[in-house]
Amino acid sequence: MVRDYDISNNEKQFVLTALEQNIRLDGRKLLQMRDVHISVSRDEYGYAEVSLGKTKVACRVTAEITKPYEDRPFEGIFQISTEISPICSPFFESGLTTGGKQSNDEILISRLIEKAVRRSGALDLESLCIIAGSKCWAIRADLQFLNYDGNFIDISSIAVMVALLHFRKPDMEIDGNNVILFDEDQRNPVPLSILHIPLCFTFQFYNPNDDEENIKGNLNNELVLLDANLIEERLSLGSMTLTINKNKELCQMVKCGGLNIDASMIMNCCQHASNLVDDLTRKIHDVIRTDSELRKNPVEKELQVVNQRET
Amino acid sequence: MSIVIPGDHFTLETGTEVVLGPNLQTTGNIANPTTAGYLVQTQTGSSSLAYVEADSKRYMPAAQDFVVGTIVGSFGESYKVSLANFSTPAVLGFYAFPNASKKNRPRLKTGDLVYARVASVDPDLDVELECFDATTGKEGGFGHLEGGFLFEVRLAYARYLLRHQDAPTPYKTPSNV
Amino acid sequence: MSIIVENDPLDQVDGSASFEFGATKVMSSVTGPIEAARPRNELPTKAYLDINIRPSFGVPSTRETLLEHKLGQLLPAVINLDQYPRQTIQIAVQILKNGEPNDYTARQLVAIINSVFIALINSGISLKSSLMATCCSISTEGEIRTSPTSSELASSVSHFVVVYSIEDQQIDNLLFCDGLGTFKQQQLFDVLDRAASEILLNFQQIRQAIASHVSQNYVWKA
Repeated sequence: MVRDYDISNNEKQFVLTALEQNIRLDGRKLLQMRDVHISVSRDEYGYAEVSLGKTKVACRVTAEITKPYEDRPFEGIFQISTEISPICSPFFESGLTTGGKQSNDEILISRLIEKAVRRSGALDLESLCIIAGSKCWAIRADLQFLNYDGNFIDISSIAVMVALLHFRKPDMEIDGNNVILFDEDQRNPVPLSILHIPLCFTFQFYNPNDDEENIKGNLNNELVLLDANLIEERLSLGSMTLTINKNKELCQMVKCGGLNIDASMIMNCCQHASNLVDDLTRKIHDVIRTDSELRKNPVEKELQVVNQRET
Repeated sequence: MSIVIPGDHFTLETGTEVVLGPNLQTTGNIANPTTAGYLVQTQTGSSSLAYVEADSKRYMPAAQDFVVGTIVGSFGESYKVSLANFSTPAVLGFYAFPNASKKNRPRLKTGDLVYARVASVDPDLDVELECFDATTGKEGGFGHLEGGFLFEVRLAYARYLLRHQDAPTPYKTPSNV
Repeated sequence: MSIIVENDPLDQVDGSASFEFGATKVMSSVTGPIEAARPRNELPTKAYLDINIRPSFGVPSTRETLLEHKLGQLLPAVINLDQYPRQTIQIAVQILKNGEPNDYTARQLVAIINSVFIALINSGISLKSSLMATCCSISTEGEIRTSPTSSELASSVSHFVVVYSIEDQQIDNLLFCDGLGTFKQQQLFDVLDRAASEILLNFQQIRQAIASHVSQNYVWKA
């Protein structure tokens, strides 16, 4: 049995009527995102907490040395785990109660994140190779969904990317077939090689008219909104996720069924997402930069000041 | 008023009639709070009242409470009404409306909101709701709610609003679901 | 030990709490009583406890299942399960910071038990008494340390997780004791005594956190 939120017709009607008048429950514009708050851990590498309104996700990146896959001897391994725990809402059931079966929402979220981050080549897998065919780094990103208020997809893509950028793996040296790892006190750990920062933007669609107008008509007045909260997400008639980076490269576009949407509207969504991606990318870089500034030891800071004076 | 937590036993006065309210368990004349909250003890005439005023999010039905619920389906001759997300639905009979008969009864759809009164609560049975006044059998303002919006508030605040007519409200229509 | 408790940080569940002591941090949530997800979880006379623990990294393994089992043995001693027949009480735990080597679970179990207790209080579920957990270790010299750090644990010969119920501001019953390693009978008794005084001391902080949360929920009473 699948549990769901019981949303009354009154709430549904209220939200939809308001949307038609360009008003959302939390006072946002239709295409406005909630404020993104990003915080990273001070005392360890590769831990980020991101919140989007009340939606909250944490991501932890860990690394270990393993044997690469047989068919890809020159590449490292990168895995993202996106199991949703009922801690964020009883709506998401644990694997135990469902007998190991994931809910459709959960599968969709993990597929989208997988495609957005892993298959778009955000992480340079070849740089993770240590000795071809025998040793490589296995990077693992564990997403922890803490609170659900809609839009897990977008926030997950931010959390994974921030955690990857924040992560440092131990420096090492190769001596023949031996690998020597240095701990933090011996040598500064090294960041991962991130090729680009793909970010997801999820649009939800609503139809103020009837089905016939949607399929046959030319009105094109379907409502589009970005970063839906819980009730908006539960009432949505269709959604589309765009993954885009700040070079304006569209990495992924997913629309699984739902409301029919005109091509020109999809183009508008792409345009809007590409406007937002710059700001968000800058925000992520700011967080990472502030963190690495704070981590520098006093001696290093001193040296940097001296260097700057000389040039 | 003192804040108590589970395990803070206190002795009830013997010889008088003591009415026990929510969140208390007794063995003999020793009472034990079952959750954290304010301990309230009042004396009216020969009988006294003791209960623990505690806040929570999930509504636990209590007889004679006025509630707002969402119809989530029907089976046999009754509607299933959800009083809180993911809780076991309560039951509202087709004929638990004023002057309802086989031919003439409100037809409610899934997703409709109803304002009702909790008629009976037994942990081993389904919670039963009724949409008529218990004393007169007349309408009493219950039934299908149309339009508007449902605001979820914490239970302590809902009870506060119900008891204080002059309570400051950020919203005009509180609900105690 | 310095304890940091956060009351009800989560929105969608009925009660939640995070418990942090030293380098260990755990977030717990309680939802219930809710409708059973599957008919087989419907127990005719009492509530079913659905416990779910997730590690700070990696997929849940036998390690988490063992922790779930330990929690499942402890909780029926304090929750009035018979008040909620056929219902489910869902407890989800997320370990945020291990704070100890990966082979150990002592510090995490302490944080899990304490955070679940506070989350249960916040959810309003009927409890029999209050409880608190603490851990102790015995060093190679036979010295007992309460709330050992990661390195103290790694160099100890044995370690214990002890849970006592607290009634009328006093230590009441020993609810749970889990020891691993070599120790003598007298050492175990010493550990239990030390744990009891440690719990009595530290429970004041938990009580304070619960009381301030109650008064926050009733701002208009102030």
